[in-house]
Amino acid sequence: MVGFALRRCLGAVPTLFAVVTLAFFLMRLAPGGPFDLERPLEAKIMENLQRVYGLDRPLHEQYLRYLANLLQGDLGPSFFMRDFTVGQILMQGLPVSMALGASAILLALVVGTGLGAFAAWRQNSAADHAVVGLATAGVTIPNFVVAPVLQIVFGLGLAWLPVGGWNDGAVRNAILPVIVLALPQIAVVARMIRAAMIEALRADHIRTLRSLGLGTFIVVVHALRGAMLPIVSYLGPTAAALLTGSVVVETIFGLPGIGRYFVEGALNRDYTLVMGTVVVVAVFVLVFNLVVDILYAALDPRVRYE
Amino acid sequence: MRSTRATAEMEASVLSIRDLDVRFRTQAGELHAVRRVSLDIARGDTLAIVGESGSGKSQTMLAALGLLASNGIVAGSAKLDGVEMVGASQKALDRLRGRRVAMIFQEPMTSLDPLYTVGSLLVTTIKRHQGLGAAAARAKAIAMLARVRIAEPEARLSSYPHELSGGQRQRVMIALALANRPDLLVADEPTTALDVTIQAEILELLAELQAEMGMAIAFITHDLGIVRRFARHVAVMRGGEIVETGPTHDVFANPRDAYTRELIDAEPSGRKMPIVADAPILLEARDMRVHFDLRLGFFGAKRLAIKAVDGVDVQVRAGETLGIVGESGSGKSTLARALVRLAPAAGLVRFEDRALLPLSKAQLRPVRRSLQLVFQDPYGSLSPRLTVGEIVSEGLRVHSPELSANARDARAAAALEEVRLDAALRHRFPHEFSGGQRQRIAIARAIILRPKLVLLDEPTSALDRSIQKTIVELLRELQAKHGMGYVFISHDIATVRAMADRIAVMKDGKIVEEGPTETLLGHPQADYTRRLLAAAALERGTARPI
Amino acid sequence: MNAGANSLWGDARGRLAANRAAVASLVLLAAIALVCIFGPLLGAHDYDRVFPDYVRAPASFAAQPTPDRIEPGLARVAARLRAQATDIAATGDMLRVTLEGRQPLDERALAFFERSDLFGPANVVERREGGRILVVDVALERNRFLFGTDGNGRDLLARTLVAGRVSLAIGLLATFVAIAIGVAYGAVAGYFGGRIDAAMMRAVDVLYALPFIFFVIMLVVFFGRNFVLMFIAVGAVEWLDMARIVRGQTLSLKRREFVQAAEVLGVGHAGILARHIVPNTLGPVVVYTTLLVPKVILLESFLSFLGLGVQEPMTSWGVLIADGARNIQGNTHLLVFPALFLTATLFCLNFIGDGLRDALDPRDR
Repeated sequence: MVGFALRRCLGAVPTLFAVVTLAFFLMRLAPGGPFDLERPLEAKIMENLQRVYGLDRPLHEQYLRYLANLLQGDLGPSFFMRDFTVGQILMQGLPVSMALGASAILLALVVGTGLGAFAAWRQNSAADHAVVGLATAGVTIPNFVVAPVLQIVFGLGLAWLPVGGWNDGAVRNAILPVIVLALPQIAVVARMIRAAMIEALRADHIRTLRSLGLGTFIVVVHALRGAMLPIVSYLGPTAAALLTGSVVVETIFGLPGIGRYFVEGALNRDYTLVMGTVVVVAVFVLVFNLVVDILYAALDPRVRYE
Repeated sequence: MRSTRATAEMEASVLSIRDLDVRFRTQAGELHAVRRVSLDIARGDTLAIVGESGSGKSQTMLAALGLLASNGIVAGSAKLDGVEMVGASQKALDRLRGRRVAMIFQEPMTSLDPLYTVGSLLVTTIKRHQGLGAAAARAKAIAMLARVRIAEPEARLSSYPHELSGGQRQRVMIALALANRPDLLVADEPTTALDVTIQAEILELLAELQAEMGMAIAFITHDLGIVRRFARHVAVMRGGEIVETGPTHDVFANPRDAYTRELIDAEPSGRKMPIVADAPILLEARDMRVHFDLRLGFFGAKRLAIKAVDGVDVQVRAGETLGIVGESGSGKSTLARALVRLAPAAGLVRFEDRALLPLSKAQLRPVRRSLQLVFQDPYGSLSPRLTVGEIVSEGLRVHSPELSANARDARAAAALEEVRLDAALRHRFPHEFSGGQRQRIAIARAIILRPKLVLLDEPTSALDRSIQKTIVELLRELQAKHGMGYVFISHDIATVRAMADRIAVMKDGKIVEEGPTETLLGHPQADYTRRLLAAAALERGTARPI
Repeated sequence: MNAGANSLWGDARGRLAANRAAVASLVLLAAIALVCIFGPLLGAHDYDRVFPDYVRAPASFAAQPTPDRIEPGLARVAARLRAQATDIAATGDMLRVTLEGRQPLDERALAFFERSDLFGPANVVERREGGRILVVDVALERNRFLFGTDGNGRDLLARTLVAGRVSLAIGLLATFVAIAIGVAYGAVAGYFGGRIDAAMMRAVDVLYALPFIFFVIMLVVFFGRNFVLMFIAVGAVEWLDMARIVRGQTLSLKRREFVQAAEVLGVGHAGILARHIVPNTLGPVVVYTTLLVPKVILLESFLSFLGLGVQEPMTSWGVLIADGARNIQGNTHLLVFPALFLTATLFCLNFIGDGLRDALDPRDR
């Protein structure tokens, strides 16, 4: 298994390289630059700035230098937040985003699995229809609608929870953002588990268990274990996305995660900051793909580490 | 104690079904699958329930055991030793199933949970019904696996189903079902998905275990050979009803029902007319090899070559039928595929006057007109989104592009008539046809091009016996009319006997024996051929009971 | 393999018609689409007309101006005439008002009545004290704002409907592009297999690992001023899932015997792809399409929420919702109505998608 993981890690390196390359040149193709302000800078100052950050060199030279720095773990200085390096900015925001994302995934997994399994067991009952309806609502109502509504109800109306802010990770502050992040995932997980359970409950091998009189509990355990497999592949990319922050949730709740840097960085042409976020997300995606593969093989004996 | 009770109730029925009715709610309306069926199985007896697909034979027993799909509705009564099972609670049923009555199923591939080891299932079952501790249950499980003749039973406990062969899986199913010594075993086509030699072994095992444990067996099958050999009583089902029932010997000797007679006569009969001695050679293959390279490991560093076809010589003359017989994995289907270049082959293949293997795709195209293939699965070989007319005439689009759409349609209609299908049906889609009709459509698609040689890859094995017979007759008739050569691939000796001039027996990618049909079947030389024929005879019911 | 799995559109239609949620969704979605397309043509107000006097008017069936708006409205007009309004008497849609100034009033300035959103033209009935006091008849200009008005005094109903056109058009356009690319890419990769497949799918992996938002924002930067082009580009990004789905389908289809049968007949690659592969992938494609349209509409809303989407005065549901979310306190109608339209549409599309999936593959679920 260790060999398998190692091979897969090596296999991911070319992908990461391609992602970095693509992002680098896409970014540079976009019109404008990091120092284009509303009032144009004096030519002399502009020239100086460009030189300081190496932007006056030919593009391929900048690219090679970026790669060289990246290999040493140096993501470069931020162009816009001049006093910080991209590394510092990301290291500040990443723990916040990861804490929120991880809680949301956990919540989604527990609640979604429970709801989905329950609905499948009582297929076509009123409870089943309620779960399906709720799940559809969870998928369709945008988070930027849910978030302000929750703020109004629980923050302003009932005054149970704070409307926003991070407050050094106080649980009270995290509740609403985690719920907003988790709701659509709960919905998806519940739908997937329900569909997979219904399929599993009809499978021949479940009929075998019934024919052996093994009882309802064992039947449910077997069906649920089979139904969990598709969830594993779904959760990989989802986890990568959630752990690297959500622009909407961080903006609405005023949280210091890294989600908003995608937008701010791109709009300000903060080349290094954007590249930094791209690298972080790509690494997360690749790592979680790997985790999914390992987990899948652990859960399904038919899959081998090849 | 158990044995005293058994002697006392020897004559009583272990299972008694009265007026059992099964309906399924489907989108298309209600389906009446079983109609007021009544039957009894005596303690220790073997009852065969026979019928073709859709006769309701499986649904009857599934309904009795409370195992129907969720859209099934059951009415009537099914008593196991006097205990009513229809309408009983899941809990009550769980006290009977696995302990007093158990079932084994047709598909050993899907009947075992792929995520659990053989041992975990077996130990759970034993623990639940015998109230044993883990160690005792494990010991029993090992003994049970040994009893169904699984080698190294202790090691096998930690195997997953996918690590076992089809036959081994069916043995595990038997071990599971008999672990708690039930009074009744329901066996739903337990050997249908297996190769003939494995079939024979499983049947022997079941007979042996019955002699030892004394349980009754309800044997659901479509195969009259098994019935004759294995069952003391038989019930023949058709369209959800029992049409005839009685002791096996009587029913076979004097079938009272017309349908029973039809079933008994359904074995393909007749022989092919011999060909003229100097017919020209149509197809010749020398030292044909098909090897698949499996690449494993890091960047495909490890290679594993599978020799599916390993140095085979075949020869077919115009108008001749070469039968190729073998079990699954013998390479007989791969051989057919390689002959039409669906699989990459090495060696020499000559069709008429051209060597096929060096030809490019474009050069091969005109040859394809004369060399056609009919597949085994009539459900998979017809494009589901095209009409039957389009499917049948597709070859004309390629090989006679000058034909107008109307002319193609007329040719399709004629081809359908030729295979005895109503030409008006050509505007329908394949899913509206039965398996036998679909196979006729597939044959029409091949013969519309007037090929000189048709490769038939198990064209009848997915069909019911009575349908098989009509397809065999159709194929012989078309051959007599158009003078085509056939390569007829099958695992079923009776069908090959009715079709072939010569037979080649394949095993592990090689031809082990070849000769004229009657000589080879009458005086098999190779060891493997003899075993194959013995197993087939057993299945046919012509062998003596042990 | 049973007959159901091979079933055709006819059977699927029957099963879909039996699915009440899907049929209701189809009807509702058609209604929303028709209202959005034709509603603005029939409606009274242009989506970009500003009513300065009706900023953030609440949703109401009552015709504006409501009685409590008349007096402040009159006072505003009177102030421009340098006069004071007294003796207001309303009869139906007419008002009789006495205007009294310090100096004789300039009657040309009565045009201010007409320029206001509340009143029609004014007629002088009586002049007193050398024109220092005028008695005028003023018509009330009746307007209805069923959904209220936004912060600029624009009719929210008209804006919601026009926004619906934009959102639906964007959803369909981008989805169409995504499906076209995805089906072609996936079918080719799956059919030819081997190295071609490996290379094509590695490219997909790379695009998957690029943060999606980064991609979209880059596109916004490129095409920001032209949202049609931008959403063609978004479609060009959203095809990844489609390509994977179709590739998976194709991989299993090409092993099916009917494809091999076509090969044996001598049908070429193009013919096999067009006649035997692509038509058989359409089931999952159709289902995925109904799920992709809401995804794209949501994406557009999301971009608009970030201020990167459709630009004023054009609007979309996302723009309206973002605006409503910002002004949610005291002005819930700004959020409620566009959100209702958006979620109803997304709900419908989801139920239709589910219904289609069940209809096309009855063994599932």
